[in-house]
Amino acid sequence: MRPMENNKTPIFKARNLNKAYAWGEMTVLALRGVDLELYQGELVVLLGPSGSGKTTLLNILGGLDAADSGEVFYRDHDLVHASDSDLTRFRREHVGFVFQFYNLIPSLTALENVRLVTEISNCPMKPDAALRMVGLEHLGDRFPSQLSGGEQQRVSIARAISKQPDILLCDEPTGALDCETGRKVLEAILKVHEELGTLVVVITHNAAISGIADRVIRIENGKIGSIATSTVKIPLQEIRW
Amino acid sequence: MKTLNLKVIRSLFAMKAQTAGIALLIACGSGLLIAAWSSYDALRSAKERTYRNLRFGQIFADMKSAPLSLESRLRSIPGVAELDLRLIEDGLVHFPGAPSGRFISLPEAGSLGLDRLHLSLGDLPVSGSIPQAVVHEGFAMARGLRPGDLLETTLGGKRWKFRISGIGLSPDTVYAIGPGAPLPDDRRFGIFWMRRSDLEKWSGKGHIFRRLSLILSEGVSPHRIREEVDRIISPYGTAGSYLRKDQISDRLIENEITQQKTLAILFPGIFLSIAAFQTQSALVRLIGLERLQIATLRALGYEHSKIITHYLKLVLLMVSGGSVLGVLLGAGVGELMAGSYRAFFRFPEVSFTTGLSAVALGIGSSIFPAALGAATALRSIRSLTPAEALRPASPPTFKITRLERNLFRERLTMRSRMVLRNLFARPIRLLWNTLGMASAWILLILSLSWMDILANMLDERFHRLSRETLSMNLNTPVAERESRSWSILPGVIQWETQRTLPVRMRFLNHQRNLLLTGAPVFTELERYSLALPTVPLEGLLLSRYFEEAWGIRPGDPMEFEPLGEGSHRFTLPVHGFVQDSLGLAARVPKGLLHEKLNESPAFNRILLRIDPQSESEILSTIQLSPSGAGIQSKKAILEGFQRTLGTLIRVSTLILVSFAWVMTLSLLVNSMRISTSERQREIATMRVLGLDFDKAFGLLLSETGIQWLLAVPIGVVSGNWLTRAALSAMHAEEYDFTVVISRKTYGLALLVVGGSFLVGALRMRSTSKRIGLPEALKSED
Ligand SMILES: Nc1ncnc2c1ncn2[C@@H]1O[C@H](COP(=O)(O)OP(=O)(O)O)[C@@H](O)[C@H]1O
Ligand SMILES: [Mg+2]
Repeated sequence: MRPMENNKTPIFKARNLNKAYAWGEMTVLALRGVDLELYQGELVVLLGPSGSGKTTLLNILGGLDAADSGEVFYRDHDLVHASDSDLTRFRREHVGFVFQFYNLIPSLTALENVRLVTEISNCPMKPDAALRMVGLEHLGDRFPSQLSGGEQQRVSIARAISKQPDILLCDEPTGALDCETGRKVLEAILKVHEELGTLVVVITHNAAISGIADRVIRIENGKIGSIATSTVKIPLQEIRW
Repeated sequence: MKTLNLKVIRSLFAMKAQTAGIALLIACGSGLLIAAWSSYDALRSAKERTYRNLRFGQIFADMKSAPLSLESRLRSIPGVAELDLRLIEDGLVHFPGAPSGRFISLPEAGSLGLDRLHLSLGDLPVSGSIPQAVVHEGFAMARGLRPGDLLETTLGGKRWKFRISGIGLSPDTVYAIGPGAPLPDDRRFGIFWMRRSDLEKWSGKGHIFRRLSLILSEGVSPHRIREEVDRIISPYGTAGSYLRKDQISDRLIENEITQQKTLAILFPGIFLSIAAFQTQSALVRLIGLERLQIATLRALGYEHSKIITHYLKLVLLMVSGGSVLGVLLGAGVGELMAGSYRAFFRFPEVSFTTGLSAVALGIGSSIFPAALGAATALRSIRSLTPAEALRPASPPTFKITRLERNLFRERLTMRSRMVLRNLFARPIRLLWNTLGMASAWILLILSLSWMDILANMLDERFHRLSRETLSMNLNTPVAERESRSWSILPGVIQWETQRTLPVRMRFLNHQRNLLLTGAPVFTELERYSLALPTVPLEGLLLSRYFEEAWGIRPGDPMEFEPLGEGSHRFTLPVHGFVQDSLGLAARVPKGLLHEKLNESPAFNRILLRIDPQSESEILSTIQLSPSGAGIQSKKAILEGFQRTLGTLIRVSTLILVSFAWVMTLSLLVNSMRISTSERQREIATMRVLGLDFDKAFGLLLSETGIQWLLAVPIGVVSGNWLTRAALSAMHAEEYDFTVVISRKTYGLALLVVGGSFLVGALRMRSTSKRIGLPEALKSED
C-alpha cells in the first residue's frame, strides 16, 4: 500500500532525451532534454497540456519509438541503441500498454485478446484471472464490439497485465470515457498496481486524476516542469472530473 | 470548397501508389479496346478504299469458255453500268516446289476495266518478243521476284517464257488462294496479269472469256440483272453468277474482318470488365478507408452532394491519368496490330489512325467503371449517420461459428483465429477479393491458351489428320488405273486418290460454294476424325458448322450443283458431321460420287506419302508432267500458315499476354496494398503487444495468401470456361478450333500470378515495416 521510497535504485533512467518531428520545413521539438527516473512499484502520473510531449516520452520508454539523442536505460537494457527485435523482446517481456482507444483486436473475444498475449509471454497469468482482476470474468466470450467503452478499456488493461509486466504504461486511459466509467478503469489500474506491485505510468491532461499518484511529473513544452511527490493519496471515489 | 479541392490533391498524393495501380489497370483495359477497335477500323476502311479505288465488281460469273461476242448483249442489259470480261488460264510455274500459277488477261489498251491492278512496283505489260506479266505481290514477295525477272511456266501442255514487268494486286485477289488449298499460301500460288493477246497465244484460245465482272448502275437491284446474265451465259459451262459477298477473296476477308471485330469487342471487353471490376473494388476499399474523414466532413456540415462531388473529382483525377495512358498505349499497340494485318491482308495501304471515336470509347470506358465504383462506395457511406460513421472502428460483426467452436477452436492459435474470422466475417468481401485475384488467372489463361489452341490445331490438322506429304490437283479427272504411274514413283510409301468437285451446296434457303471431296471409304492419308481405327466413310459428311448454321439433321437431303463441269444436279442425304478446324468441307465416298456423276472410277486429286528424302526429286518429276495443275506440299502449307495467320495469332497473343501480365501485377499489388492499409492498425497493436514484426505481418500475409489460394481453383475453372466461351463466340465459319490448355500455360500463369503475389507481398512487407508504431496506433481510420 505504501509507495516505494525514492532512495531505491531507479529501474528506468532517462538522460537528456531529445526528439524532434519534421513538419515539412519546420521541426517540432517534442522532447528537449528530458531527465527522468522511475522506480520499482511506484505509480506515476504524467500530467501536461495536449501537445506537450507526454505520448512521445511514454512511447520512448515503452520501446515503441526511438529518441534522437540522449539515453534511456531499463535496468541494463539500452533502449536508444537497441535493435528492432531487441525492442520487440523488451516489450514482450516487460511492458504492458493501455491506449486511449483501447486497440483491441476486433476479431478476437475479450478472453482471446488476453490469450493473444499470454500465448507469447514467459510467465503469464491465467487469461481468466487477468479478466477477473478487472472484473470482467463474465464477459470473456464477448467480442469488443459487444462491449462498452469502459469494458473495452478494462479488457485492454487485462490484456496488458496478463503477462505480469514490470511496467504498465497507460496513455490517457480514461480520455475517451466519462467520469463514472473512467473511475472503474482507474480502479482496475490501481488494483493491478497494488496486487502485482507493477510500476505504473499514467498519462493524463486531467489534473484531477493526479490524486491517485505517488509522484506527479508535469511536462511542459517537451521538458520536465516539476516533480511532486504526494504524501497523501486521495481515494478514487473522491476524484471527480 | 477551396479547402476540399486542396484535399483532393493531397489525397491523390497520399494514395499515389494506389492511384498508379488503378490508372494502370484502366490504361490496360481501355488501351486494349482502343487498339483492337482502331485496328479493326483501319482494316475495314482499307478494304472499302481499295474496293472503291480499284473498282471491284459487284456481280461475277465464271465459265468454261464463252465467246466475246456476248459482250454487247451483256452490256445492253439495263442496269449494267460497267462490264469486264477476262480470259483465265491455270498452269505451273517453274520454281522449286512447283507452285501453281493463274494467268489473267488484262483489258485491251485504252480501257482500265474493273478489278483494276494496283501496281506497287514496275509497269503494266507491253508487247515485245517475250510476253510480259504483272505478278501478284504476295507471290513476288514470297519468291523474291523483281521487275525484269525471267520466268517459265507450263501451260496448256507447253512451256513458255515470260518476263515480270511489275508487281501488284487487284481487289479480287487481295486474299490469293489457290485451287483446292485450304489457306492462302503465297509461295505455292501466284497470280499473273498479261496482255490478252499473249495469253490467247499461249492457250490457243481466241475471242473467249472465262470470267465476267460487272458493276450496276446506282440503285439497281442485282436480282434481276443476275437472272438476265445467267440466261445469256448459261450455255457456256457456268454455275451462274454470284454476288461480291460470295467472291472467294472478299468472303475470306469478310470472315477475317468479322473475326477481328469479335476480337475487338470480346477480348478488350473481358479485359475491360476485369479492369472495371478491379477499379470498382479498389475504390470501394479506398473510400472505405476514408470513412472517418467523410463522416467528419458531414459532421462539419458539408452536404452529401458536395462530398460526393469531392470524391468523384478524386476518382476522375485518378482515372484520367489512366485513360490518357490508355489512349497512348492503344495507339501504339493498335499500330502494331494493324502492322501484323499487313502480312495477311494485302490492301495497298492499311493506314492506321486512332480515330476520335476510339479515343472517346477508351475514355468513356475508363471513366464509367470508376464512377460506378465511387458511387457504390459512397452509397454505403451515405446510409450511415454521421455519428455511426464517426465511431473509430467499423468492425464487422464477428461470430464464432459452430464449426469453429466444435472442431478447431482449441487447436487454433489466436493469430489463426484472427485470420479465419477476418476472412469469413465478411463473406461478400472475401468473395469479391478472391474473384479479383481469380480474374488474374482468367486473363492469363484466356490469352496464353491461344498458343495452345493454335499448336493443337496445327498438330491435329497437319499431322494427325492429314498424313500425306504431297497432294496434287489435276486439271481434269483421269481414269483410276492411271494412279499406278504415281504410285510407282521412287520414294512413294502410300497413296490415295480423290475425286473432287467444286459445287454449290443447297439446303432449303441456304447455299454455299465448296469443294465436294469423294474419298476412299477407308481413308488413311486425309482423315477427318481423330478416332482410331479410322471410321469408314459411309455417306455424306459435312463440317459441323452446317449443323448449327443451317440447322441440318442427319438424313436431310442436300442438293449439289456442280460448278464449271456442266454436270447435272444431284442430291445426297447427310450422314453425319465432323469438326473441320480450317475451312468448310463436304466428303462423300468416292464410289457414291462416281455413281451420282454417272462416271467410271476416276480421280483428279492424288495424295502421296513419300520418303522425305525423295521429296525434291518427286517434285521435279511432277513438275515436268503436263497434267498437273497444282502440287501442294504439306510442309509448305504449314509454313505458309505459320507465316500468315500464325503471325497474326502470335502477335495478338503476345499483346494480350503482355496486357494480362501488367494487369495481374497491378491488380494483385494494389489489392495487397489496400489490405495493408486495412490491417495496419492491427499489425501495429500486435507489435506493441510484443509480437515480432514478421509474426504480425504473417497475419496479413496469410489472409491474402488464403484468398490467393482460394482464387486458384476459381480462376482456373472460370478461365477455362471463359476461353471456351470466347472461342465459341468467335467461331467463324472458316475456323472451328478445339480448346486445349496445356500444362505449360497453367505453369506460366502460375508463375506470373505467383510472381506478382511475391512482389505484392514484398511491397506489403516494406510498407508495413516503414510505418512507425506510434503513427499506426494513432491513425484512427
Ligand atoms: N508523428 C508526428 N509527426 C509530427 N509531429 C508530431 C508527431 N507526433 C507528435 N508530434 C508533435 O510532437 C509534439 C508532442 O506530441 P505528443 O507527444 O503526442 O504530445 P501529447 O501526448 O503531450 O499530447 C506535438 O507538438 C505534436 O504535434
Ligand atoms: Mg498524447
